[in-house]
Amino acid sequence: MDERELNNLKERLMNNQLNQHFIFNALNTIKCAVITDQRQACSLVDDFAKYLRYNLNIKEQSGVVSFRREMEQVRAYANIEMARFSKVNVEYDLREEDFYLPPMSIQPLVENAVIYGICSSREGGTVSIRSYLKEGYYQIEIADNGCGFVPEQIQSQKTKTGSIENIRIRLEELTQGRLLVKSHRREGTRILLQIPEESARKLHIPKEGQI
Amino acid sequence: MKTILVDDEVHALEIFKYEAENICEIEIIGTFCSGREALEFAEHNEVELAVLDIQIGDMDGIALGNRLKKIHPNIMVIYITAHEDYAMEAHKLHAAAYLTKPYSEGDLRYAVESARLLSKRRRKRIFARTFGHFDLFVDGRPIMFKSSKAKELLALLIDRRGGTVTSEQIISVLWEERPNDEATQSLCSKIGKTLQNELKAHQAEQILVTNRGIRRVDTEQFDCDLYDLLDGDRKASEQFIGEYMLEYSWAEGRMALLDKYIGLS
Repeated sequence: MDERELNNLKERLMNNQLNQHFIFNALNTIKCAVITDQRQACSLVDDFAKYLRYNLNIKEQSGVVSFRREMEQVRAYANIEMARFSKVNVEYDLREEDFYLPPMSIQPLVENAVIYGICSSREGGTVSIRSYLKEGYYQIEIADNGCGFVPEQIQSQKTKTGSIENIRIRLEELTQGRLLVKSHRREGTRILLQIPEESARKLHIPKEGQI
Repeated sequence: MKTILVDDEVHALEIFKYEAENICEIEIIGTFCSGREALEFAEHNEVELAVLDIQIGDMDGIALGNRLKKIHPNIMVIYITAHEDYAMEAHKLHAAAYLTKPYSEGDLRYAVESARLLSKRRRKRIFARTFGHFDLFVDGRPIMFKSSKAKELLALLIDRRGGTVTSEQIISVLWEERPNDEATQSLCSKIGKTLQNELKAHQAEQILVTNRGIRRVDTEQFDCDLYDLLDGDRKASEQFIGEYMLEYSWAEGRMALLDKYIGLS
C-alpha cells in the first residue's frame, strides 16, 4: 500500500459522519456552557480548538505521530463529550507515552466506545484508556463497560467497521502493529492495539513541520 | 402549547428554555432523558408539542415521535439533530419539522410553524394559507407557481369556499379590463389548464374540480385557515390579524367582513 492510499484511508476517517456530528454537538455544548458556566465554556472552547487544530494539521502530513500528541486530541474530545453527557466517563492510565503510531488511531475508537457503547445505555459507563509496554510491544487498550456488540456486527455496522478496519490497516502498514477486538453483549468492548517496540520508536520525519 | 423535551444531553433543557423564552406559546410541561419516561408521561397527560433529539440513548427519536403520535394524534413534533445526513434526508421527503443544533430563537419559531403545518387538525397534506399572503403548501412546502394568473385563479376558487364559479365570473374578476369575448375565454381556459398542470406537478391536482368550464375546489382535499376560522377554530382566529389574501384587490371585501366577524366573536 503506497503513501497515497494510506492518506486516503486517513482522510476517510476524518471526513466520516461522526466527525461532522461532533462539530455541531461541540458547538451546542459550548453554547450551553456559555449560559450556565462561563469557566467551563472557556475550557471547552480551548478543547474544541485543540481538536480542530489536530484535524487540520494531520491533513497535511503522512506517517506517524507521537502517542502523547494523539492523546491530547483524545482528551480534548473526551472533555467535550463528558460535558455533554453526565453518564459518560473517561479514565486514563498511561504508563508509556513516548512512542509513535498512525494518527487517528485512538480517538475514533474512543468515539465508538462513547457513542455505541455508552450513550446507548441508560446508566452510561466508563471508557478507560491504558498504555503500557509488555513483551516487546507497546500496548494500548481502549475498554468500555457499555453495551458491547456481536463480532458479526462488525461486518454490517458501516461506521464502526469503517474505523476499526481503517485503523487496523494503517497500523499494520505503518508500524507492523495489530489490532484485536473483544466484545460481549451487555459486558462491554475491549480493543487492544499492539505495536512492536522497534517500529514504535521510529519517527517518520513529516514533510512540513511537526504536529 | 403544552410542550415536552426529550434529550439525554445535560444542558439540552437550558438551551431550549433560553431560546424559547420569548416564544410565549411554548409552555414546557416536562423534560425527559429517555423515550420510555416520555411515553409514560404522554399516556397520562396532554401533550401538544414534542421536541425530540434524533437519538436518545438507544431509542431512535423518529420512532419515539411516531409512538407519541399514536397516543396524541394531533401532536406536533420537532426533531433536533446535529447535522442533516442521510437519515434526515430521507425523512425530509416525508416532511418532518427539524432543528439543527445549535439553534436560535428564529430557528425554533420556524420549526414550530413547520410542525404546525404538518399536523393540522384534519392532517391533510395540502394546506391553503390565506391570512396575509396567499400560498398553497404541499407537505409543508409552498408551491412556487410559475403563472401568477393561475395562482390567482386558485385563490379565487378557494375564496369561494367550494362554490362553483363560471368562466364569465372568473373573467370579470381576473381580467376585469377585458371584454368577455372569445379571446378572453380562451385565455381563461388556458390559465385553467396551466393551473391543473402546476397542481399536478405537486400531486395536488385533486383539489381542483372542473366540469364543462365550471370550476370549484374540493374543500375535502385540503385544509385552509379561512375555513378553520369560519368553523369556529380558536387557533385560526388567533392567527388572523386583519390580513387576508393581501395581493388580490378583489379579496378586500372578504377581509373587511372577516375583520367584523372577528370583532364580534
